[in-house]
Amino acid sequence: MTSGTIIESVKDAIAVASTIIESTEKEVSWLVPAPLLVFAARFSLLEKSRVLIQKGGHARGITEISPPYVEVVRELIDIGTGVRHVEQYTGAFMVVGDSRQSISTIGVNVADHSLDGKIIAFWSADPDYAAYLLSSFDRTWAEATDAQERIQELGESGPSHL
Amino acid sequence: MIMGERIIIESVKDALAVASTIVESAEEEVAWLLQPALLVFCFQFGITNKSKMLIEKGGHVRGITKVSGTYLDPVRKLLDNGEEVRHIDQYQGAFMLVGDKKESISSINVNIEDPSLDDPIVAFWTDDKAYADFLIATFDAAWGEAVDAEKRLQEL
Repeated sequence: MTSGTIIESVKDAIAVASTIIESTEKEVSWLVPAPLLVFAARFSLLEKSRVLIQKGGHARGITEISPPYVEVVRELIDIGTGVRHVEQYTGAFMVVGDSRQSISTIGVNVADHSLDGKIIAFWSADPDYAAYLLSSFDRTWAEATDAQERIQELGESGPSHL
Repeated sequence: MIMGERIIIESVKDALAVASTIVESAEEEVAWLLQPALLVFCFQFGITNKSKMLIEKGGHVRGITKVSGTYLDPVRKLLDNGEEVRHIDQYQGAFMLVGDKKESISSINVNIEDPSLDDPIVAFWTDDKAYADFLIATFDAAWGEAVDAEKRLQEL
């Protein structure tokens, strides 16, 4: 019995994240660099989140919202995902489904955010590991800014930002 | 499932205590990635002395941190002890310490600007081998891109 699997490409990490969201029944929480949100949209992860929310599930996400990613964040908000913004994104990545399945990185591998980029991520189905990730997530969530507020701020900085 | 023991650690003080135990029980190798401000606590908690003892017994210690003007002395002492240290420019707040590629304590983000021993953190201790493999793979990738600390000290 393996205790976890190392994932080594952005493409594979997105595929694993997709499977996690698809199999989630209650709640998915994610912390993702904004460039990866675009891939998430392209690979139907937003659609899978929408299906989860329509079935009564919850989705929460944290990212660093900057002008190029306002549109994808708006899509997430429109489907019912709770989104918050962190000012100084630390580079960590995590997706946790139903407090059990997770894929995560520890944030030192400065990601090449192309689909073929290298990543070192860890997939696990251990509830204790998920509890640790969710504890980190919740702390970041509490300090993060509501996405609507952030988008408004960016709008106030000038229309060219949106 | 992650096999073996695993515990969530919730303060800087407890994380240092766990790190100290890991270094003490390591027989061959320790790898760490640490915020420079926390290096000072490693000296206070005797972790650096334990690393030195490991090296004297033939073990290896490798560490990555952000070497800046404020923390030149601790880094020099680590090098004097025989630790291999490298510098990364863009430290992103992660923390890890792995002993003998098995026991580990790690955190996604402990980027506290002015840490105190009682600061809350969220760290994960485990002796799961697969998790240690993941941490070491992450460490090695960072190590490959990091700059030798001696060179960095010269630059500074």
